[in-house]
Amino acid sequence: MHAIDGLMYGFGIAFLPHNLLFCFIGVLVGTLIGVLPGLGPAGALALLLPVTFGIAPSTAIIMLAGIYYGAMYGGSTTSILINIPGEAASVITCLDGYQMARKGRAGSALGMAAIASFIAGTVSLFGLLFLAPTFANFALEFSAPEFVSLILCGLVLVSFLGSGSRLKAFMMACMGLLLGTIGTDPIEGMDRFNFGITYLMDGAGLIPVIMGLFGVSEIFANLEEQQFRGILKEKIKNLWPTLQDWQDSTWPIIRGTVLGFFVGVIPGTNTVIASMMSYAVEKKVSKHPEKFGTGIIEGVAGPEAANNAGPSGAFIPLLSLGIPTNATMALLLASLMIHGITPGPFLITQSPDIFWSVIASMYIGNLMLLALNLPLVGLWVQVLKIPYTFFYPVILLFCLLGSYCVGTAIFDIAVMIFFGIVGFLMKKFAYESTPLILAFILGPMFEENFRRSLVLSFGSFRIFIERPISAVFLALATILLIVSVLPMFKKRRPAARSKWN
Amino acid sequence: MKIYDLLSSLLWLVIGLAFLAGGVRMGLGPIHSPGAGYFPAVIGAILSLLSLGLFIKAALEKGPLSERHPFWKEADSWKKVSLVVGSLIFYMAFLEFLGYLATTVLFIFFLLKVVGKKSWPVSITMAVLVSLGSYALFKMALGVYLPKGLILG
Amino acid sequence: MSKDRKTDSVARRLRFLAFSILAIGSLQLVGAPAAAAAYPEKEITLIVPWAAGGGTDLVARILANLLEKDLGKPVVVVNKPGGGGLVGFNQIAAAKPDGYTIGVNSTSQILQKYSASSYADWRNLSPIALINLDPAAFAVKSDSPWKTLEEALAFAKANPMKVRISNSGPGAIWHVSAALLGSKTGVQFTHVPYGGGNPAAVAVAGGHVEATTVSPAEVGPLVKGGKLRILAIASAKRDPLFPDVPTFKEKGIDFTMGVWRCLVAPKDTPKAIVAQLEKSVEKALREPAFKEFMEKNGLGQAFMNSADTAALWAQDEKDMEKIIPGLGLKKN
Repeated sequence: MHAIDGLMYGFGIAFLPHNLLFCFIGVLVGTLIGVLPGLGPAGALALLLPVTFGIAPSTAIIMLAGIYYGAMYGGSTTSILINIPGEAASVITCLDGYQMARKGRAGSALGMAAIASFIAGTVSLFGLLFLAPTFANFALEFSAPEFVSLILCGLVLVSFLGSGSRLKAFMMACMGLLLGTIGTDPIEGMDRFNFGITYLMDGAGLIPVIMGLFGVSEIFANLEEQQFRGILKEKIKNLWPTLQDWQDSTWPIIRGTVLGFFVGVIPGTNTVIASMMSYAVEKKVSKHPEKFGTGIIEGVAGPEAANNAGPSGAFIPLLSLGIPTNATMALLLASLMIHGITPGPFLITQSPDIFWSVIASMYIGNLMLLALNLPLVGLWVQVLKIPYTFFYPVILLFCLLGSYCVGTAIFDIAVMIFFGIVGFLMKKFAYESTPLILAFILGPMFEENFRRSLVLSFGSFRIFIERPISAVFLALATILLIVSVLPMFKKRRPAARSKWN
Repeated sequence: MKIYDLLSSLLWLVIGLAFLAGGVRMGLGPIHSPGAGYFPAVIGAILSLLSLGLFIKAALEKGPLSERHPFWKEADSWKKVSLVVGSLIFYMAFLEFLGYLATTVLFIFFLLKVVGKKSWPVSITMAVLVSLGSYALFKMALGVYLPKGLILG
Repeated sequence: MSKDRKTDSVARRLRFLAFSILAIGSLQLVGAPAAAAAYPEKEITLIVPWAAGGGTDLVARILANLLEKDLGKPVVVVNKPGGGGLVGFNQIAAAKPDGYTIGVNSTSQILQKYSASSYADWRNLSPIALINLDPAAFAVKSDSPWKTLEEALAFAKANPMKVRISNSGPGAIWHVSAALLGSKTGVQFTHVPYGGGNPAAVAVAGGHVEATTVSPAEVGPLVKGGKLRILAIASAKRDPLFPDVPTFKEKGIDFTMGVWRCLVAPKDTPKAIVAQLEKSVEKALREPAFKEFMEKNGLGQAFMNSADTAALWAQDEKDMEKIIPGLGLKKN
C-alpha cells in the first residue's frame, strides 16, 4: 500500500468516534502522568493495560500511544512552572523555561513548548513513514561501542550547558558520575557503595534525586526570603508567544526535530541526549550565547522539539522490527502482542489497519495535545500567581508523593530530603545541579556499555574505532570537547557568583 | 565567595579520594577488562584533582576571604527552612504509620499554620482540601497505591 | 501398691489428655472450614518485587484481576522493586501471616543465595502455587551458519571463548543457564551481560553476539519476525508455542533450566487460607483470559500446587548449590 493511500486509510479508521475518544483519553491521562512525576509512562501503561483488554486492538494501541505522547509533553509543564522535570528528558527545559516563567514569560514558554512539540511530532511522523525501513536496520546496527561514543558526546556537553564556572561544572559532572556508580555493578553484579542497604542496591532513584535536587532545594532557597511573594519576579508579560518568539524559535525547532528523531531511533537511549545536544547547538550558533540560562525562548523551543521528535523515532524499531527501544516501548510491544499483533517486517502487510491507524492516530494525538494544552497555558500561568505560602506545600507534597510512589519506599523520601539539602547548599556555594543530574543519568549507561564493549571485543579497544558509526560519534565527541574547552583558554570567563550571595 | 570555594573544594577532595579508595579496594581489574572499581576510582581521582585545582585557584584569588554577604539571606530564615525540613522528616517517618490522609493533613496544616502563620480555619480547610483532592487524583483516578496506616488512608 | 496406683492415675490423666486433644482437634477440623470460608473479609495486598510494567508485573496484575473475581474482594498490586527482587521478598516474608498479604517470587530468590551478597531465605515464605515456567531457549540469528544445535556446539567447542552468549544480567537465571550449558557440554563461552532479556535478544538479532539463552517470551517476537532462530529449548517437553524446536534432552544433553514464578505468602499463613488461595489460583490459570495473555506473550504456562512447589524450591536449592560454585561466576 502506498504511503499516502495507507495514511488515508489510517485516518479513516483513526477518525472513527470511539477511536477519537480513546485517543483523547490516552492523551489526557498521559499529560496528567507527565505532569505528576513518579508515575512514568511505563507504570501508567501497566496499570491501564487491563482496561485495553475489552476493546479492539487498534483502539487500544491508539490510546496507549496517546498516553506515551501525553506523558512526554506533560513533563515540560512542570519544568517550566516549578523547575521540576517531569521526567529525565525534560531536565534541559528547566534551564531556560523556569527562568522565563520567573520573568513573567511562562505563557510564551509553555505555548512555544507545546507548538514546538507539535511541529516536531508531526514532522518526525513523516520521517517515520518514509524512512522507516532504512532506519529500522540502522537501529539494529547499534551495539555497545556505538552507545559509548554517543554518550561520550553527551557527557562532553554536560559541562558546556551551564552558565557558571566551567571548572565547578566539571566537578559536579564527576560527582554525578560517582553517584551513578552506587548500587550494583552492571557487568559483574558486585555491590558498589551501597553499604548493604537493599534499597540502594539499584542505586539512588532518579526521581527522588531530581525531586530533591531541583524541587525541594528550590523551595528552601525561595523560603529564605521572608517576603517571597511567588515565583514571578516580574509581572506576567504575555500569555502567548510573541512574533519575536516565533522568529527566534524557527530554526531551533527545525534543528531540534532532526536531532530528536535520529536519537529516538536508536534503541536504548534516553531522549535527554537529544535535548542536551539541541541546547548545546542552539547555544553555540546563537548570537547571544551568554543569555542562555537567563530565560530565552531558543533554550526551550529546540530541546522541546528534540524531546517530542524522539517518540516518533522510537516507534520505528518497534513497529517495523518489533524491537522496543525503552521500557515504555516494551510495554507497547506487550500490549500489541496481547491483542495478537506481532510487530515486525510483516506488520504492514499482515495488519495494515493496525499500522496505518497507529500512524494516523499519532498525528491526531499530537493535534489533540496541542488543542488540550494551549488553552491550559492561560490556566497554568494564573497558577503562578498563587501566594507562595499556599503554593509550596502542594509542591512539596507532589515531590514527596513522586518520590514515594516509584517503589513504594520510605527510603526514597529520605533520598529526596537528603538531595534537597544538598541542592540547597550547592546553590549557596555556587555549584550548578544540572551537570550533576545529567552525568548521573548518562554515567551508568556509559560505564555499562564501555565494559560490555570490551567483553564483546575480547579486550580490544579497537572496537570503538573499527565500527564506523562508533568512529563517527567518537570524532564528534572530540570536536565537541575541543570546541567547549577552547574558550577557557581564549578569554577568562567572568567569575561566576552564586545567585544567592 | 572565597571561603566557600576553599571549604567546598576540600569536601569534594575528600569525596573524590573516598571513591578512589573504594574503587581500588573493589578491584580495578586489568585495563582490557575493567572491574567494578575501575570507573569510580578513575572518576574519583579526576574529582580529587579538580578540587585541588579549585582550592588552589581560590587560594590564589585576590580579595577578602569572605564578603559581607551572610550565609542566610535574612536573619532568621534558617528557622523557616529548618521547620520545613522537620516537616518533611515527619512526613517520611509517619506516612506508613498514620496513613496517607492523616499524615498529609497534618503536614499541610503545619506548613500553613506554623510556618506560614495563617489562621486556624484557613489552615485546616486547605489541609483537608489538599489531602482529599490529591487522594482522589492519585488513588482513585490513577490507581496509585497510598499507605493506609492507622487512620483509614 | 502405691506405685501402681500412681502410674494408674498418671495413665488415666494421659488418656484424658489424649481424648481432650482429639476432641478439641476434631472440633478445630469442623470449625476450620467455617473460619476459612470467611476469608477474605477485606482487601488483599499482592506484593510484586519488580517495577511496574515488567513481565512478572503484568502476569501478577492479570492474576490479581482474576483472583479478585473469584475471591470477591479486591486484590491490590503493590510494586516493591529493588535488589533484583530482594526488597520485595523480604517484605513478603516480614508481613503479617494472616493471608491478607501475599506476593510473587521467582528463581532469583534461590539464585541470590549463591550469586549475590545478600539474599532472602525462601524458608520464610509459604508457597501457594507455581504460576509459570519459562525454559531457556538457545537462539541464534536467522542467517547464522549454524542450522542445528550440533553445529553451534561443535564450533563453540573448537573455538573456546569465541562464541558470545548474551544474557539478562550477571548472576541472573539466563546467565546461570548459559554457564550450565557450557559446563554440561564442555564448551567455553564468553558471557555478555545485558540489562534484561529483551536487550539480550536484540543483541543477537543485530549480530553483536552469536547466541542467547533467554526465555521464549523474549525471543518470540524476533523469531516470528524472522530475525532469530531457536535451535533448542531447555525444557522436559517441547514448547507448544515452538513445536519444531527440539529439547536439549532429545539431543542427548541433560540440560533443563528456566525461570519460574510462584505466588507466595509469609511463612506462618494458616494452611486453610493457603489451600483456598491455591484453589483460586488453579481456577484463574484455567481462565481463557489468562491463557490467552500467556500465550500471546510467549510465556510458559504451568501450575504446581503448594506441596509440589515447596519440593521444587528445595530441589532447586540443592541443584544451585552444586552448580553455581562450579561455574566460576563472580560472587560478591
